[in-house]
Amino acid sequence: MTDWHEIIAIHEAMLWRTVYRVLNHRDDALDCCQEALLDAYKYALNNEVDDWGALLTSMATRRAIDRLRQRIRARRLMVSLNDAHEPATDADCPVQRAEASELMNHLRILVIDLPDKQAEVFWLSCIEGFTHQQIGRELTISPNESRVLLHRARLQLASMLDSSHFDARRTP
Amino acid sequence: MNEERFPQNEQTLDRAIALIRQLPVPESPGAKALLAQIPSDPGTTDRPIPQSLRTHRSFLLRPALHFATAAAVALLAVGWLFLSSPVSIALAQVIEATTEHRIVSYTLNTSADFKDSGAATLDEVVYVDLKSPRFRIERHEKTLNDTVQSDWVTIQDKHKDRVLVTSSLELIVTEKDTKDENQLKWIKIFANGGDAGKKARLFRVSDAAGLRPFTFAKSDKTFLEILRALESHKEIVSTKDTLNGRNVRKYRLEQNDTILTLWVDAMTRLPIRIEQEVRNPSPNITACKWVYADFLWDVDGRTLDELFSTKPPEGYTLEDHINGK
Repeated sequence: MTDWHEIIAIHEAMLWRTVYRVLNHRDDALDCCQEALLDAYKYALNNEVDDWGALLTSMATRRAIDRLRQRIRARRLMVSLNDAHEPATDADCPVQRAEASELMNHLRILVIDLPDKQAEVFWLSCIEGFTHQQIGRELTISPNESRVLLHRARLQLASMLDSSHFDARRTP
Repeated sequence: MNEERFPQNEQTLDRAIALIRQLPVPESPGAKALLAQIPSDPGTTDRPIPQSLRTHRSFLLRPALHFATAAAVALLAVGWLFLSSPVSIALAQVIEATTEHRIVSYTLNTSADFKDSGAATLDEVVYVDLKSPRFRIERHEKTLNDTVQSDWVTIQDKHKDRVLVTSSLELIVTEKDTKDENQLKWIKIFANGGDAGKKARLFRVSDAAGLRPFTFAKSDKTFLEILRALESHKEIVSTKDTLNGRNVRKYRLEQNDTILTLWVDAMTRLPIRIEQEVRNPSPNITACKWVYADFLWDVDGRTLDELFSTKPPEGYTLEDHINGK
C-alpha cells in the first residue's frame, strides 16, 4: 500500500518548489500541489510507480502551467494586490529586482502560449533540469521528440521575447 | 519551418530561466495541507475520491471571492467599532449612523492599470447585512472580449457556516458571428475550458480546504473597514465639500502610496462615496483603485431570507462540497 506520508516526507520540498516557481503565489501553489497529489493518487491506483519524484514533478508542472494559463487569461477580470509582491532575486537594487520580476513574469506569460507538450517539456528541461530520457518517460514520448519539442519551444520563446526591454545590461 | 534565430533574445531567455531557477521559495505549508485531498487510508476503502479543488476555484470565480472575503472581515469588525474609543467624533457619528440600518447595498468598482496590458476593471454590487455576518455579491457582465455573458452571485452566511456561489456562463457570440481575432481566440478557449452552464457550489465557511476566507482581506476593504481605518488616524483631513449637489463632509487620508477619501452626507451622516487608490502596488501595475458608490440603505424589494439564502437555486447543477456530492 502506498504510504503518502512517506512520499511527502521525501518529495515535499521538491513538489512545493516546482509549483511555486511556476505560479509564484502561495494559495495557487497549495491548490496545485493538492491537485497534483490527487492526480498521482488516482494514477497509483492502477499503475506501478518507479520514480515518485519524477512523476510528481511532471504532474505538478502540468497542473501549475494549467493554473497559470487560467490566471493570466483571467487577468483582465482579476485585480489582486496580493500578487503584487514578488521576491525575485537576491539583488539589492529595487530597480534590478523589479526588472527581474518583470522578466520572469514575461517568460511565464509566453510559456502559457506554447502548445501544452512544448510548455511542459520546456519547463521540465530548463527549470526542473530533467533529462530528455526522464521527460520522455513521464510524458510518454521518445527522448528525440522531447528534444524537438524543446528546440521548438526555445525558438518560439526567443522569437517572442522583447529583449530590448529586458537587456542584460545589469547582469554582472 | 522557419527557424529564424534571435541570439540576443536567447540570452534574455536564458537569463529569465536562471532567475526562475534562483527564485526564493517560501516554506512549504506542510504535509498535512498538501495531503488534504488524499483519502486518509487509500487502498483499503471504497470511499469516493474527493473532487479536485480546481473546479471550486475556477479563474472566473476568484474575483467574487476576493471581495466576498473582505466583506466578511468588515462584518466581524462591526463589534469593534462600537467598543473602540474614537479619535474623531464626526467619524464615530458616521459609523453610528451606518449601523442603525439593517442592510446596505453599494456598487464596488475595482480598476487597475497594468503596464503591459492596459486597464482592467471589475464591477460588482454588494449587499451587506449589518446585523448579522452575511453578505451577497453580484456580478453581471459581458466578458472575454464580449463573447461570454457571465453572472455570478456569492452569498456567505457565517452563522450557518455556508457559502453559496452560483455562476451562469453563456457564450453569446459564435465563430460564425465574428471575424475579430481576439473574440475567436476567447470563443475557442471558453469552448475548451468547461466553465459554461449554470452551476451552484456550496461550501462551508469554516472549511479550510475550501475558500480560505480572509486570505485577501489585507489588500482591499469594505466601506466599514475603511471607516475604521480612517477613524484611527490622526492625520486625516476633514473638509466641507459638495458632491453631486449635496453638502458633504470629505475625509481624506494620504499615506505613502495610498489615498483614502470618504464623502459623508452632511444631513444623514451616511457615507455616499468612498475611494481608495494605491499607486505602484507592483512593478507591473501602476495603480489600483476601488470606488464604493450608489449606497442604498434598507432598500431592496427582496426579503432578508431571500437575499441571503444559501439554498441552491433551481436549474443549477449543484456541486456540494459539504456533503461531497
